Amino acid sequence: MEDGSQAAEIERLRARIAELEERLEERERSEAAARAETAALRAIMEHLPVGLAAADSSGKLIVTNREVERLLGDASSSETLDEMLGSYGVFEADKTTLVNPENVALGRALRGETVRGAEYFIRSQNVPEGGWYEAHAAPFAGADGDVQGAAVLFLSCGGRKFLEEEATAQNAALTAAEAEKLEIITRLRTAVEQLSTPILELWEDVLALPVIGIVDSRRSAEMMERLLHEIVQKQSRFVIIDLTGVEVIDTSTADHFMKLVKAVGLIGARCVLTGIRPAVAQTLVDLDVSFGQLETLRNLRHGLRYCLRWLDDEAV
Amino acid sequence: MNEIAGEVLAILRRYLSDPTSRSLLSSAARRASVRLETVSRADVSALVRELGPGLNIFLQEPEKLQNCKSLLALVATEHSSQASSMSMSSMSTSSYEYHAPVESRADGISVPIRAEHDVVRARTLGKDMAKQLGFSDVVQTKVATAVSELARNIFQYAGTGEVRIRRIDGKRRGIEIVARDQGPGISDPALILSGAYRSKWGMGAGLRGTKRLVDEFELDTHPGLGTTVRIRKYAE
Amino acid sequence: MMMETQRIPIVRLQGKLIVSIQTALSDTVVDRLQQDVATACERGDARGLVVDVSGVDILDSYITRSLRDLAVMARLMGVETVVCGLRPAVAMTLVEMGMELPGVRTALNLDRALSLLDSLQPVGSSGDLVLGDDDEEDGEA
Repeated sequence: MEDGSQAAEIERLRARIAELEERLEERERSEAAARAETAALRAIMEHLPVGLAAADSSGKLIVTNREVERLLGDASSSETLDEMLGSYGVFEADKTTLVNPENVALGRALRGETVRGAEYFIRSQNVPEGGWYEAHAAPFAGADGDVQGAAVLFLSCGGRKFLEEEATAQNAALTAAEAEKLEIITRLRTAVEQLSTPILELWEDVLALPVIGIVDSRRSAEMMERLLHEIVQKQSRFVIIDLTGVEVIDTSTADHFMKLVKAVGLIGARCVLTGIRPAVAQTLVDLDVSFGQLETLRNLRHGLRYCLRWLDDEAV
Repeated sequence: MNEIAGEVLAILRRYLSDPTSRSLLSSAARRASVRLETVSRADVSALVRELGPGLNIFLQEPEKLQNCKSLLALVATEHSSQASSMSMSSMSTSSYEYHAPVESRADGISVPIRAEHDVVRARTLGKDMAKQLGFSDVVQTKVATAVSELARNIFQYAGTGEVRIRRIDGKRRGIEIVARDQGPGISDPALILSGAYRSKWGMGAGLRGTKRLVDEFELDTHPGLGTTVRIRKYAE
Repeated sequence: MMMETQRIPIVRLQGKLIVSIQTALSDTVVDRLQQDVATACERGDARGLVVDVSGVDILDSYITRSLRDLAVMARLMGVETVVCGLRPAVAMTLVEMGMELPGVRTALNLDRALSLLDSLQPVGSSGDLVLGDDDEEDGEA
């Protein structure tokens, strides 16, 4: 009879319902999972202290997070990238040049560029004093390679920037201080040099030049000039050059001294050398220095006595 | 000495050296029974009278003698400021008498060496430029002496040539002198410069001496093709 | 243009000859001076010669040699020479160049030069010359 086919139909329909119920459950499960994932992503976006934004290929903002809104002012009223940039200031590293809207990280990403670490100084209603931010942006492309949109991430890097600026300022200060110190050192050195070879007037017509330490070519030139002027100034007949303070002498220094002695002779005065140490004597001998009419005596006292005697004889 | 005596001395010093001026002035003061600490304008004519013989001896050029005496006469009147401005202009006309014009170019001043007088001119110019560059007295003298040596070598061995003096700007400030001639050239410059061939005086000695006075020395010479010497002295 | 060579005057004072150079020294002037000094020494009554170079601001090798020659020549004629007033800057330059005035006496100023000459020339001497005592080639000033 007809009972058999009805039963088969009911069985078929039951199976179908069961199948559909299963699919429905599955779909609900994935939708719940998807919702959960979206909620999780949203939570991340809102709670990370970075600014996140994404735009579609026309520049229309499709996603912004709370941080971006805080940072860039109220973005809800401005819906495109251009409008957003108009309501706040994004500056270049000099803090005064406005960045061309096309060159903002997001703009560049929309043109296909991946931007890493672009630095901007950003001022807005919520951040009136401004802050330093690093932007990272990338385009996302569809299956066919066309840019379908771009996303940007803003990181605050104020701390690092502050340290950099501090370091530069300190460097500049140090350099200036060093230059000043160098100048002081040079002046002191000159003063010390002059003090260490003072020209003393021992007696009328007798000058003494006690030489201490090392005499280099610059010092000896300065010494020669000073001595000759002093001789002319005081019209001194004798200069006693005392070398007691000179332990050792090299050939170029010996050469300078010989020039000094000759120059003194040329202007009409006479040199008397005293206190020549053994090592110095040896060098002078090695150099085959001819002493000619140069008088050499043991020490300053003997030198002075010699000069005074000579002056006495002259006066007679 | 007082101000008026100072004015007289300043005028003498334009023509004579400092020691000579002072000695002339003090002996004139003695003879005129005038004290240099208290010279008045009225005393000046007596002073000038006593200076006369000394000036006649030491200033042989009639023009200079005349100028000096006129300036001194002005001191005797109240017009001492006129005296100093007059002396400035009289200095400039009597200083340089040129045969050939000195060329002033962007790359320095060129002095043609044709006569003996040009040697003096070149070295005076060298000294002036060194002074303008702020070199000390001693360095001015060294520069002037080096120029004199080079200019004289041109005059004595080549007959004619040129000495060009220019300042060096940049990292190191200084002065450069290029002495050029088309004379016979030096056949063995290395030997001459080394001092092995030791003529105590003469061209070799002049070149060796010059080399010691300067910071950079370049000699470019070929027999029959002339000689160029380039020297530089830097400020410290 | 100097038509005639300028001459450096030779003054007689206390029996001595004094040459005071106050102008720029050109070669001709120096050569002329040598001649004039020779003539003056020839008279035989000069008790010394002083060359005052206080007015000279530049001495190059030629002029230095000429001055030295002048001094040697005078000496050969029995007239001792003293060079006085050489400026420090010039002395330093000469020494740097390696130039010297061997055998030529020097003094600080005119007065001293004259006293030096007095001490060298005892009154009444005929000025006999002894060559070679301090006139060495690798000399001294």
